[in-house]
Amino acid sequence: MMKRSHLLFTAVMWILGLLMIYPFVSMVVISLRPSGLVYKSIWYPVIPTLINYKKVVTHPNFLNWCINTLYVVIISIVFRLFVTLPAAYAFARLRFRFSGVLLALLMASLMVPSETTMVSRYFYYKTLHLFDTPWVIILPELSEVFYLLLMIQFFRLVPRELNEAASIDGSGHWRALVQIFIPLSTPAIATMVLFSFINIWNNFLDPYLFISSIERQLLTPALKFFQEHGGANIPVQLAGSAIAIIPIIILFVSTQKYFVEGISASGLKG
Amino acid sequence: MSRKGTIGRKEEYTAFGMLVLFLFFFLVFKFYPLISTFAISFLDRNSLRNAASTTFVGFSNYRTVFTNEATLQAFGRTFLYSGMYTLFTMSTCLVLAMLLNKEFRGRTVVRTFFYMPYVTNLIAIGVVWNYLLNPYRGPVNRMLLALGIPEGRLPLWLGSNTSALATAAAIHTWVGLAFPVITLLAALQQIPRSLIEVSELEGATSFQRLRYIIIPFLRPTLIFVLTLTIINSFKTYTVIMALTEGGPGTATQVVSLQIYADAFKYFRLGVASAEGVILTIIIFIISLWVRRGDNDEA
Repeated sequence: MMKRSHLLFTAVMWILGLLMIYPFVSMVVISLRPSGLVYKSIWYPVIPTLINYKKVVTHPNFLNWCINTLYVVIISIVFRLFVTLPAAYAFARLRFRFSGVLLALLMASLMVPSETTMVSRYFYYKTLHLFDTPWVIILPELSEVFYLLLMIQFFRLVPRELNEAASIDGSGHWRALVQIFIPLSTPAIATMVLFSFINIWNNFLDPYLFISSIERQLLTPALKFFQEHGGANIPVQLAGSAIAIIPIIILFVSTQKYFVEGISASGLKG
Repeated sequence: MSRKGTIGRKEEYTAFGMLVLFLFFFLVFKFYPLISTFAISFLDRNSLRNAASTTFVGFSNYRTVFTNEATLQAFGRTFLYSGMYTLFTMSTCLVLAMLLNKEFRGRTVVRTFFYMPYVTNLIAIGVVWNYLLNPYRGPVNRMLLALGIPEGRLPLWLGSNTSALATAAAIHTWVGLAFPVITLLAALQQIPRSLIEVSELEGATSFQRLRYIIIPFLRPTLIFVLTLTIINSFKTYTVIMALTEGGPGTATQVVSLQIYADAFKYFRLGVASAEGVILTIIIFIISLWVRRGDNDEA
């Protein structure tokens, strides 16, 4: 009896799980169909065609969008590490005046949705001559407080004795950061890189508002243009969507451990 | 390295050196836009050109926000959306976390399925849900039709004034579930096994266990999750743009889209900024109020 109910539970969980990913499954299945058969059932037998993918990939700007996106993602992540890791160390290990107030203020900024400041940023980025360049996306990414909190959380877990050993050694905090903290936190850094990749890749609002040339655009807003200007060709839109999410899903499935650890760490401390 | 006492000068210099880059970028790219939004909200700006004339108009823009039918409705929709999103998320995340905490074959894979929507692109999600929920030919309504719901009573989902906002909130919930579920799963695993075992020996029902052990133990995490859910519920721009672009009509025109329309369609930049300031203040008040519940107990 016990066994039977457990079997039932397993079945229910699997059905729920499959329902969660049903939209992605149908995205892929339908994107492989000619446009006339879009609204036939998902089980309807169709000889798969890559024609929709071909239409997306051969768009004159498709390669530009991919290169721009990768460029922005990679540069942002590298710079973010340089900017965030020392700051996280300072908050996790050093004692300085106003550190508590400063951290509280930084955390409060997490509550402000970026859409509330779109008007001022529009003028501001124009004044700074960042408008319509990749830097308009990269530079504001560097001081995201979420990643600072994530790294503070992890750095606090490093035993204090290691700091003391390093200070007896005569080496300063910068050396402790580079030689002890960073090597010990590779999983945390992997988490940060993973989150950054996903968030920057998926960012829609900023590139949509602040990059105006279509050939300088990034993949996610470009997908929106596809939806708006590509007519009602649903399988082409779905193929574009699949292209935009497949790299992220592959990355996510292969690094899920870090993803879960990162969220758990940010939650447990509150 | 004295634990208490005065803070070393040298340590402070090092701290400053380590913080300076982050603080610089924060001040320039996060703090200044906030201050500037506040400033513009008191100006009479009506052109996107930088050199446009600007006159100080006091609270006039705020008065416009509070007297204009369209902006007031946008705020109303935002609250409704936020309430629905928070309700949907909070009512499902604990149940799901508890279910996913139980042992079953393939648990890791099923967990991955639950986390997947969280990492995918909202625009792509908009494309696929618009397809799935197509009122006339989409797979969801075709299935409802097959289940015997008469054609005239099929829900129009994103296509009707009455259901679009709720449908959008539900899809947003589906996207965002991973974060609260993972957080609660981590917290559930921290509950000492002995506590659960004792309650089993004492013959507690599963409801009693939930009420007297699990929920009190999870309280801080639940409040954390609730705070983040509420904050997230106001970050609506991308979701709504992906799903409905504010339509049908103005049925899903929430504040963030209203800001966009006021700024870049009607060039009422002062009014758009005032809306941003008001929304920010509202989010602050709500978050602080929820957080207060945290401190009461502690």
